[in-house]
Amino acid sequence: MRRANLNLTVSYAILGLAALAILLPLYSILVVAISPQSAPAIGLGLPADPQWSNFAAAWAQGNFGVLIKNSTVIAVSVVAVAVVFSVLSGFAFSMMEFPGKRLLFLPLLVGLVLPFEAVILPLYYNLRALGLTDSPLGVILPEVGLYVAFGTLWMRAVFAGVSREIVEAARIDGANAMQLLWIVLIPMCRPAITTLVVLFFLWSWNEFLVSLVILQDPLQRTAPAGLGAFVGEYLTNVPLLAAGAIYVALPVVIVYFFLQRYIIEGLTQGAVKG
Amino acid sequence: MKKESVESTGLARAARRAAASMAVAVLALSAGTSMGMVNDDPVQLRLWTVAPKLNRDGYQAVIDRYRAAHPEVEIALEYTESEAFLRTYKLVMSSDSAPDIIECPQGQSVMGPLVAAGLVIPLEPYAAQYGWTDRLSPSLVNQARMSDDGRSYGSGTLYGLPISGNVIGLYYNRAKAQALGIDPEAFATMADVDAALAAAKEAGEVPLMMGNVDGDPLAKLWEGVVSAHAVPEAKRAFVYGRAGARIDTPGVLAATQHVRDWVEETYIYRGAPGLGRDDGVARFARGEGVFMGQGTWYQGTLAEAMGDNVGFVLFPPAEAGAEPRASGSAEKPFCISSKSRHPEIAADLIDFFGRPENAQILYDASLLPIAPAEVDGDLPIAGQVLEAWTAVLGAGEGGGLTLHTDWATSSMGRTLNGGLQELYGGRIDSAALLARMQHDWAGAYAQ
Amino acid sequence: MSLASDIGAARGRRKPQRALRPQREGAVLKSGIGGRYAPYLCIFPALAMSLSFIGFPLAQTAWYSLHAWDGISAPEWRGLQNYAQVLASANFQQALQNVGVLLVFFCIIPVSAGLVTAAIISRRKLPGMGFFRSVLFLPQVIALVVTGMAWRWMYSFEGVINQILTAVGLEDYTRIWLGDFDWALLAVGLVMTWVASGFSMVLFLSGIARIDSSLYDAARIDGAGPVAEFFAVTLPGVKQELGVAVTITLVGGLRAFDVVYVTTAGGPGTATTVPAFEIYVTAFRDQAVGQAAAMAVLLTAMILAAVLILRRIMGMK
Repeated sequence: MRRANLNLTVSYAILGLAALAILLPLYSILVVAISPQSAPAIGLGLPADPQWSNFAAAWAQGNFGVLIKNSTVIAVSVVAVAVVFSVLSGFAFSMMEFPGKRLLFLPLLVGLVLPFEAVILPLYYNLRALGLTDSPLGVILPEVGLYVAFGTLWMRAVFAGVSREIVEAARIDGANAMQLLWIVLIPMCRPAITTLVVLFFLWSWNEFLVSLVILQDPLQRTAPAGLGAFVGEYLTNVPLLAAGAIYVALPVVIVYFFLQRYIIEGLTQGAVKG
Repeated sequence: MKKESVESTGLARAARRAAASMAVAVLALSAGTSMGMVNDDPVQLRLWTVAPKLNRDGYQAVIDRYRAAHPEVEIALEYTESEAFLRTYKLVMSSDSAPDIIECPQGQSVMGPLVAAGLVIPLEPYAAQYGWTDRLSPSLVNQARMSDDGRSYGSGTLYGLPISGNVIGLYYNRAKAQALGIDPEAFATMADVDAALAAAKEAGEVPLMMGNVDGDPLAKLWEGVVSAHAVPEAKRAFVYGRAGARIDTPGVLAATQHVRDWVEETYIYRGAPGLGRDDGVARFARGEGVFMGQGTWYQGTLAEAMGDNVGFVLFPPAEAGAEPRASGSAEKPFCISSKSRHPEIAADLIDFFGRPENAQILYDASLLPIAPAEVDGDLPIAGQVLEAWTAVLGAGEGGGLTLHTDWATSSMGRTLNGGLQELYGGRIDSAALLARMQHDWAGAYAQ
Repeated sequence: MSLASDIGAARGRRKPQRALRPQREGAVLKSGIGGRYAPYLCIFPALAMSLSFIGFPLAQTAWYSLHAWDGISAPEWRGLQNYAQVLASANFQQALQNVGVLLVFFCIIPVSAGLVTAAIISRRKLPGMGFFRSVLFLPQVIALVVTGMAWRWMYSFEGVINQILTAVGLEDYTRIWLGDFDWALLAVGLVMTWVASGFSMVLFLSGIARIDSSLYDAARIDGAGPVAEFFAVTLPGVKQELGVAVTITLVGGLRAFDVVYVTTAGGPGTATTVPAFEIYVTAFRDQAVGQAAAMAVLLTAMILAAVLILRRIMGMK
């Protein structure tokens, strides 16, 4: 009994410390954002007279509504396309045997390891030839191209972890490949797929370099790229910058907290006896 | 209040223009190959700038003025912050959607490739037509001259026209300086600056505010001190890449040692190595620190934040009586894209920007106009900055502008900024820093 | 219909040895399902996207790396000179050395931390676990521009880190973290750890969720404590995820430039520069596209080699 208590204390202590380390920098941004523009906070104490009006000022000056809309369009499209493509190819690489399997996996591996800076210049020229610069598609396509590499690897690992009996049972019942995938595997692996959805959404939302290079038009920019411009404009107004930073981070934090309920649901569903 | 309403109408205008240009694009597409339609289009010009909002408001005001006289010309002012600009300008300028006018940093590394690839046009005919070379300071105009292969600048063909300039000097907090009994306007030599810094430290103030994580603010201070110690011609030759030029001269060495001494005396804000560039400026604006060595590009920001509590003087010479001089340059020249369909109108607009009658507008937007003109400043700092600017422009044979060292080669900025951080940290000495810079230079001009 | 009941029956019957070698479970459909072209149809969309937008541009980059090119004018053939220059460059060498040190911070520590926190969180349904799970993943959610802003303030001279050190009596250890030649790399590394840990944790959480809970029951009946349980059941059960986590954090860390970009810009001097940051600076500030391309090819090859070696070590196929 005492030992269990000790374990419990240690567990909470570890998690508590970790959570504190995570929250401290985020909290400090909030403190700065609501501190007076003439005297930005440097410590952790809440300002005596919180300036919530900084948020209104940043919103008015930073065009964040448009930025957030642009980021949403791009991130949602990337997630939809990249997840479907990843599930399909992950399925093939985990469940099927075919000539050239190893060879065909190689390009995806390259996509997994490649630094995006390495391809950004040729990418721009190619997209321009296709007339896709300054269009959301010009950002969506390369991001899908990059993310399917991880997606394939991830789905391959997930499907490979599905117990063999289940797959064999499905085969005995006469399921073909598509039925196996849609009726058996996808429902079973929903938590893992949801995780993939969340990851792709976050990566796409926070992608900086691609949108900066491909989208020149300020009205097309994504939120993080737009924040860069905002920093350039209001460089000495530190609380306003912090408020702008919160606008860029907040939508994705909300999406995360919303979607993770599904992950938790899926996780517990899988963890409690099947 | 008033400013906001101006801004919002400006935005609405921009939106309308964007919509209009989109509609035209759609029309052009649907019209297919019927090129005859071009004549009926209104003239549309796009000006691509990296100027921050304060300056850009001035650009817009000049544009509005131009439009009042030429209602048939539509002009869109497009903005990208300069870091993003450097990532994309080549791609944009070589695309079919290149803007007509680009505000492009002079020198081999940025403007050079555009010149070499023929993406910006020579402006000689327009210079003759509008009399730029007779009317405007050659020390500024010449910075937009390049060899046609884009490998050297400072002479050769004219590829752009700068409409403003900048110098590095000492900003100071008037209230603090007064309390300490310091009168920066009376500085005769660098010894006076040393004494003022010592007095500030003595009084428990931060003598020099700075945030140097990014590396360049210390380089700006260094540039200022170098202009006090070194001969302008020698430094210009180094930046322009003239054969046999050297940076490791006794003057520059003395200046570098001077900066190192300031570090050792802890005159520079102790937290500087870990503070962002803009955070440093913000702190000075909020009243931390007596002095800050920086360029006039912060003038507007500081005036806005500090009102008439901020002052500006040039670094005084090391030896009394020398001509006024400063590290400074023309601001990014306006160049015309070779893809522009209306180069002559673009040139007319550029000329308009540089006319004396528009100098006041630019000046009010915190720019130092290229055209010498009688302009009034409503804040004391504006008057001081203008005084410094005209003094430097008028000084000596080739003017007192010594240019910025980081333009000497494409990697010089990094060599200098990183090297100065190492000098600050006591990792290398002054001579080693200059040797490194000379080595960088020699490598770049080896062929 | 019977399909569903079969699945229900099969669920929870996962045998421990299966969990130990999940790689054997792949490729179970040797024939008969979907016909000969099905695999190719399945991989085509992903492969086509990857080749068009990653593979092909990479080949172009490799071509640029053999030229002197400013990004616009006609490229000049230089053979392997760019590579020779890059390998001889002091900045690039420093970058390689730094990234070797940073490996600890963006890969080893985050994976270990993720594993431990995931194990604690999923061990028992205790109050507050949902909160911790959400919070620990937060850094992954925040744009790095924002993260960089926060950490610069935290690490500054009067910043929170130094305030805390002073408060607990460690005044002698306060310093200007990001500007200190000896400590800046560690400071940047900790930001990487801060960013990367939550990612590993989520991978492990979903891995642990798929471990048969009867294995834990068995371990508890045998009287295993949390630590023994971790090594006997959890660790073997997430071997697959461990491979993925190490690979992803390793690759992410090796190829990332943004943490450095938003905190120190490689300084002071070159104390915190990394290869990806060198690529960025060379291409976009020095405007030397050919050299940057050579760095990019070298970096890609190095990461690829690291991953292949890793996969061999971890026994992944």
